[in-house]
Amino acid sequence: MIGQAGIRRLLPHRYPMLLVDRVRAAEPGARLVAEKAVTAAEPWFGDGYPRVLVAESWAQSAGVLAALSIEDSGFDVVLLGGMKGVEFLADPAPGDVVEHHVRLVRAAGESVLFEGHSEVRGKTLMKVASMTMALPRKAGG
Amino acid sequence: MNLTRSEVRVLAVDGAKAAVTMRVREDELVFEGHYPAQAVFPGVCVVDFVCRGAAAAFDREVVLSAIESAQFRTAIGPGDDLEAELTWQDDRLAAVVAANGNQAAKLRLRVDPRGRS
Repeated sequence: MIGQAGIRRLLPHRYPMLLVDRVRAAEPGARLVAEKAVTAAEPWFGDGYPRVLVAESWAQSAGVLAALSIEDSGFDVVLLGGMKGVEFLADPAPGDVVEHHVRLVRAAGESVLFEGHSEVRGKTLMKVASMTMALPRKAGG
Repeated sequence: MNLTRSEVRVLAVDGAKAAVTMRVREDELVFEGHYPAQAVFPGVCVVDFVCRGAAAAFDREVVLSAIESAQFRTAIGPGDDLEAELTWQDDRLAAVVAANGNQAAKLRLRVDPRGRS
């Protein structure tokens, strides 16, 4: 289990754009399960939770896995390179805990490819066929 | 409330094609935490901009059902001028996004057909 202190050490994201609450399980270089509790108190909660933020929260979970896998000191920025086959099947409601399942497919230099899905109580909300992230090393690191 | 507060403007609409623009405000909420060391406009906010632009240009509700593909070429920051060329066909929305005149992203989205037309 990795809590907020650990996540903040690994990810450069901060409030209101830190969208990972805790990491339930992680196997560096392979896979990770992270959780994000959705609340109506988030500044952008309007008619519902923006679907692109479920993708962002999943991407940040992938960022944690990348940091654990290739650079334990973390990163100043994480850049989304691209994605394919991201399907939104349902929306989380306030009170739901979204569980992100991330698998690291391959890492080449500063670029890492992931796949996976997100679910709430076993029901799939989003599928991710592939997502690529660039993680430039910290300056001087 | 929208994910971003920058104003989307419609430049032109021609049938299934449209051009929309947005200047990324320096005071966007997302910049407070993305990132403290360097403000980067999140890629998912570029997707959101394209959806808002399509809603305004084609006057219909846009419910994102899939990101079939997205490529992000350059980081977008505060004050950047975004322009998107949109093409809407059936439930497919394609967009080429430029930032300050340079290609920044290419998107192929699928939108839910339940949106009103």
